[in-house]
Amino acid sequence: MRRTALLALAASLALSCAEGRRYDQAVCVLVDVSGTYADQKADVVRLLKRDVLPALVPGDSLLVIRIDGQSYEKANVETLLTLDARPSQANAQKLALAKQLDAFAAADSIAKHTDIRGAIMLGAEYLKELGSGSRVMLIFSDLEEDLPRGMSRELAPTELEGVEVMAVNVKRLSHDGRDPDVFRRRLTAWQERAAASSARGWRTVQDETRLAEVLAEVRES
Amino acid sequence: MDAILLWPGQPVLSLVVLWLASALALWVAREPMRELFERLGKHLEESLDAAGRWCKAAAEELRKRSRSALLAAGGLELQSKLEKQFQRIDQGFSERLGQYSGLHRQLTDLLANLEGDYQKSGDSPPDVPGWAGAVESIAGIPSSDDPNVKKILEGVKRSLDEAQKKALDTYRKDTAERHRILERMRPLWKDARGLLEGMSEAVSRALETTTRVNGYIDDYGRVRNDDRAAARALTFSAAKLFAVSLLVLGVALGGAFVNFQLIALPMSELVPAGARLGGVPVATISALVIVLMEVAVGVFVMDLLGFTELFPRLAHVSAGRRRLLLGVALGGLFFLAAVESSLAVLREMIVEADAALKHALAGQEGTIAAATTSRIPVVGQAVLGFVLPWIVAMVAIPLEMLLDSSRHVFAWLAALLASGAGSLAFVLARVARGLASVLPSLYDAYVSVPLRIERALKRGREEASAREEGAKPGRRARTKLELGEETGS
Repeated sequence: MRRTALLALAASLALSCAEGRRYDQAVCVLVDVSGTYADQKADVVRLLKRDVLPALVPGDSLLVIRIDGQSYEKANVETLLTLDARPSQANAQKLALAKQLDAFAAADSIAKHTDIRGAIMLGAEYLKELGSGSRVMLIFSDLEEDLPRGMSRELAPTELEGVEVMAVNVKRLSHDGRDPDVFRRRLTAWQERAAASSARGWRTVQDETRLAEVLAEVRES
Repeated sequence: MDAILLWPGQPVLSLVVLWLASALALWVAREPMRELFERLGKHLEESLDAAGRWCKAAAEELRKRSRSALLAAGGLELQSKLEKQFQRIDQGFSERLGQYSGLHRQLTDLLANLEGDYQKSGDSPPDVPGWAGAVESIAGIPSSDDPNVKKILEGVKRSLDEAQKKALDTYRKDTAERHRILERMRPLWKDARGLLEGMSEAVSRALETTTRVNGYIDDYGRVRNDDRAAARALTFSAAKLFAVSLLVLGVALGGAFVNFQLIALPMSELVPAGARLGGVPVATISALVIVLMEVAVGVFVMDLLGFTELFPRLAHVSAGRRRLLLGVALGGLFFLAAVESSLAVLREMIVEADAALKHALAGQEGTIAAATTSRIPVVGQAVLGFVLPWIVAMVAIPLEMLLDSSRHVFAWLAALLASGAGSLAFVLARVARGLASVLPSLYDAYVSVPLRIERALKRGREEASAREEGAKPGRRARTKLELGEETGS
């Protein structure tokens, strides 16, 4: 009886000492390959390799989804990877992933339409399934949505629950240059959509070199 | 400010009215207020005085306790030193006395040999008695022409020459023999001198030990007699030990930190890299645990070697078990050092791989080839990884010194603080007394206007009553008489 009580006490102490919070991070990258943003694909891949991949630590996950005319499809998932717990293995995985990204950059497929919300929905589902400690969605696009006729896309109120959404390297279109308000309104509209879908936060990252820092900040917050 | 003004449009008037009203109110409460100041001052002074006395008494008590603890600790230390010295003397004497019989025999043999040799060197074959005189007499016979006599004399001369030659040969042989014996005596003398020097050294060492023992006994006597000088010396010694051990411990902690940094990164290869405990990565905690294990093993090793006494039970372990435990502890430490050394090598490999990965991802694969050719960092880290655990293990010695000396130093500091607080309380008591005497005057200065009016009124009333008294002579005379009595008394 006494031994059982002691064991129960030790178990409760061990449980209370165990870390409840998870520190792994899942990063979902949405890359626009439609007409107005297709020329940025190589830059985006270079940026992912230079700033995002080194910021990932063992246990983190990376998901790359292509934004095209029909983004809510499994075929749009370019790569999905969870890094091994051992740093040496994780490094090997990163190298392999870099090669996949190079292949993705080399492919010259340009979409006619831009289904951003479809990609967001697909990414959100994957992120939910991964269940990492922190979830980040990086959107590389001009944020100009152009759905094919007859297509319907509506984000659920809890679609982006717990997801930090970041618009990175947002390309300014020709009419944005004429009237910056158009660009700003477009960003605000996406911010409102993210907020309506219970996103943890929305931010636009202009300086891509800060990406690693921002990801680390989200991980620790 | 506007809130206290009666007429915000006329601040001066408002302030004057306020001052007058307050002065009037304070004048009304003058007597009780003065009494309050007086009592408050007195109470404060008494309380602070009592607090000061208590602090001083506490400081004195602390000093006494610290001193007695210090003397007790010093006495124990001296006792232990004396015990060690006596053990050494005991061992030395047993050893030396054991050797003495052999030494004595050796010396006696040497001396006997020397004496024999000396005797031998002095011996020479005796001459035939009267032989020389006879030969000389015969040789002195004058020569004659008689051939027989001549023949005899020539024969005698020849015999004499031969005898002389033989004697010379014998003398030379004897001298050579003596020289040979004396030559043989040289190493014997050297041996004898060496033995005597050894004895002299042993005697001087014994004298040195006895002088040291004498010093310890004197110190012990002073400590036992509660000598102030001994207590002061012990306090200084404790403070010096505290400072030195703190410094050494700081350096050792620096070494432990470097050690920790060496193995923190490679530990992520051995434990789940992403897991955290209390926000700290498990790899970091594991590295810390390894360093702390080295410290713990070091504490055991130092205790088993007899350098420290952090675990008194280890002192009672039998010699055989002690050797066994020491072997296990040293083996464990060696194992940890080897693990650290390999982790240090792994660290370098991980760092290189990370750098290569970053460069590869950035599309600059060839740039780090030159940097990775040198093996010096790897060897350096491996050596450091092996040596640092042994250095960290020695932290037990300054740790024990710090623990021993800190209680005396902290007690001394506490006594100093209590004494300082007591002095401060005395100063504050004086300040309270001063304020109690100054505040009524300040109060009077504030209510000076109504006070002056009161005094003027009182004086006018007295003068009026005096005038009334002047109108009644009998009564005035009595008053004067009364006044005279009062003055006289």
